[in-house]
Amino acid sequence: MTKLLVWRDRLRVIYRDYEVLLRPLWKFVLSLIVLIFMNQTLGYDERLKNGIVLVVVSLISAFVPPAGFVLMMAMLALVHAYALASLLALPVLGVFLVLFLLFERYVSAYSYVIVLMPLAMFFHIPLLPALLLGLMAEPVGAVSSFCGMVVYFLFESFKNTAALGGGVTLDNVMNSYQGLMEEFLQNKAMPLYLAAVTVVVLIVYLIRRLAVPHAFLIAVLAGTVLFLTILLIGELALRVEGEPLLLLLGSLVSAGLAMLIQFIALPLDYSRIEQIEFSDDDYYYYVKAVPKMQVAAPKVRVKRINAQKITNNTADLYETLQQVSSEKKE
Amino acid sequence: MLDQRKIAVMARLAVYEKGAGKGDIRISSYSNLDYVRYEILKTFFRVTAAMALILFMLAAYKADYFVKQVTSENYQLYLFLGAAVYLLVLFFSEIAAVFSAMHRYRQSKGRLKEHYNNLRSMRRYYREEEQEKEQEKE
Repeated sequence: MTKLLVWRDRLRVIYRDYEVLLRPLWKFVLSLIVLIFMNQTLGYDERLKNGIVLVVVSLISAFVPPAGFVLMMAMLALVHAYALASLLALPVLGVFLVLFLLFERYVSAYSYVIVLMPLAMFFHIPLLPALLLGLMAEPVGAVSSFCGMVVYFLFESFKNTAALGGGVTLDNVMNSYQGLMEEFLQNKAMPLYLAAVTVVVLIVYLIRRLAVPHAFLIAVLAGTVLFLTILLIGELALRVEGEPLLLLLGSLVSAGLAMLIQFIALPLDYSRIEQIEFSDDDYYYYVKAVPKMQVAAPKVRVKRINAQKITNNTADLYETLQQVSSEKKE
Repeated sequence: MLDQRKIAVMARLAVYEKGAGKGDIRISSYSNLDYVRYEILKTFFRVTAAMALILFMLAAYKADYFVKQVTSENYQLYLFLGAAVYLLVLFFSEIAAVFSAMHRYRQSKGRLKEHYNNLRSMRRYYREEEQEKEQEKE
């Protein structure tokens, strides 16, 4: 635990010292990961698979605000959809526009989640962003996770429609469109995941605000159990083909990662809780203060074992002597 | 000699004006009620556009069914159902917009108050500097 705290403090110092460099760097890396993921899952436009394009787009993403980043990723996804069938990109654009018109004002603070949620779904850890939103954000963050989930299922449907075979031609574009909408709207897993993620964000938020010891840990455990319960029972009830083992593993990994990130962001020492009571003219206060864990980083002392070597260079010595003598004269 | 407190206040002012300040100054140009009204109006247009888009997409998805229902005798029932869904979505969106606008207005007012306090302390620093310069001249 102490080692972890020391590492946390070191990381904080490094981040504080190099924030100007690290902030665009992590955005660059994130953008690169998202683009590679997009090329793997969609990848209909060969031009976007070019390494130079990937690097240039990631570089631009590193210096634009979060809303601009999401917009860029949405544009690139549209380009992929357009490359497969120009008319089939229209429903994708339509869903993007509906999401923008209805939810834009609520997602601006957590716009990264819209891009991260499909990525988390791909890696079977959708619980992680939900838990982190509940632990660190406001309940309105649930809207971002909702939008991210819709985007993921939209592209899943798009991929499945494209994989049906025969390709999308101008003649069968209407059938393809209907197939895409059928796949998207009749997908029973989507409402299930939407409900599970939204409930997790809200419940985790409510529990972590309770004035009880280990509220964050309880919130993560409750969120994980709730998520698994909703999905497992829902999949059984709605007869959705799922992967329970992957779901369980992904949820456990998500819970572990959420706890680790929570620990790095805000380590609390519940063994030293202080209860304070005081009053002013209007109120009587009961305050519960939980101290943060803090460990001073051990100072490294370098002990010289070899004796200092005497060199024949006496230039510095002469200079110093001259200075001392001139000071004395003054 | 650098005045560290003055530099801290100036930094705070610059950070605010570069970040949240832009939006806050725009919001503060409205009264609370006007801002909420503006958000209600904006939500109305947004929800109407979104619902029209959804209707268009659904109509294209189930074109045959849609045409059959519109031309049937039951078209009034479908019209009523459509209007009910639209009004329900609009109602909940407007409620969310009102609460969100009120919350945002309150937050921006708080931040602006702090910003004006910082501006006031800057003015005080400048006045003190001018007085010191005048005293030096005399």
